[in-house]
Amino acid sequence: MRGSDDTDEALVERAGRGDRLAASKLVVRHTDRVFAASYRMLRDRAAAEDVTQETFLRLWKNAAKWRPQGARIETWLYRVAMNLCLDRLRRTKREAPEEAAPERADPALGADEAMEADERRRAVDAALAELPERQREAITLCHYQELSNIEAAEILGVSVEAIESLLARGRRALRDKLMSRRAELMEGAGNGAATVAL
Amino acid sequence: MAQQQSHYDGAERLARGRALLEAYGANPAQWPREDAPLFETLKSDPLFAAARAEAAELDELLAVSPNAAADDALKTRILADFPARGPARSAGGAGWFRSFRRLAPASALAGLSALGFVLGASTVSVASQDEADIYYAFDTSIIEVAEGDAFWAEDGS
Repeated sequence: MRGSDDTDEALVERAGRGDRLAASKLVVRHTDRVFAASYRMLRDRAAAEDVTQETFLRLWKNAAKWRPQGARIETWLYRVAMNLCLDRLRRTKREAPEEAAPERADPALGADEAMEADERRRAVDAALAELPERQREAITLCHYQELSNIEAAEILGVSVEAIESLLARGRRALRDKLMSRRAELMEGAGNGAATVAL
Repeated sequence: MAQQQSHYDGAERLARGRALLEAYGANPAQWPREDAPLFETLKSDPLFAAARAEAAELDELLAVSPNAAADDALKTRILADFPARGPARSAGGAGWFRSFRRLAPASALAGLSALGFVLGASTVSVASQDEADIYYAFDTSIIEVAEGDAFWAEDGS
């Protein structure tokens, strides 16, 4: 459990006073998740890195003015990142890139396995990319980032009921796109994919 | 939460359970907290179990796309954007300290810091003397410091 001087809010306050160690702790604590969400939206590593970097740049610029007011730092970071992602998507009008840059292979897999895993991932990512932006955001935040419906609603500026509706519609669309290929996509995925215990 | 459940009769509970599966998937840990008791009520219902199995199939498919990981170079760039508001330090003195840090055990450095032998610590906005030691020792690899913060605590320094 974090001490009172190690909470996100305390770290932001210290960063606002020029504390570089506090800033580094925030970077270590939140970069992966902000990047993962951005990459899920943009399917482009360089673009996701730019969004992540810009998100933190805005945090540094606002750190000295931070007042909790009920919002969590993580919520704020996600909100900024998601908005930056939407700005990029609308600017480039790119919903599904023809060839997303290959993600780095799991070093534990052999070459063939890595290629198959990459193909499976691309199929799921392509289906996600075809979703309307709001549905993709909701699934990114709730399913992949495991945020609560309340947190996701706050990030996206909608009601909890709206989040639930977005999730249900998004999952139905993904089911329609992916279930016919389930056997093909799941073949060989047993070791790498997370499974839900029933 | 018991009040929430009492709002639903049997058919409504099943309908709500299916709606939760459609939105949040088969894992009750990802359901809204207030709806978690509903899972316990429904889990032995065969209709709910069938719907849950369907939701689990989609969950498994979505899981073949794990979250992408950021690399350390990105974290370093992000931290490089952090405005340098700290005091100007003598590069030579700090460099000496950095070299010393690589060679000296942590306990020795703790002793030095107790003697106040940390350059300019009094002008740096840090929470403690230990953090000031870390700041000056690891300025060029501050990411490693933050990640290894627990190391210091376990080391007793």
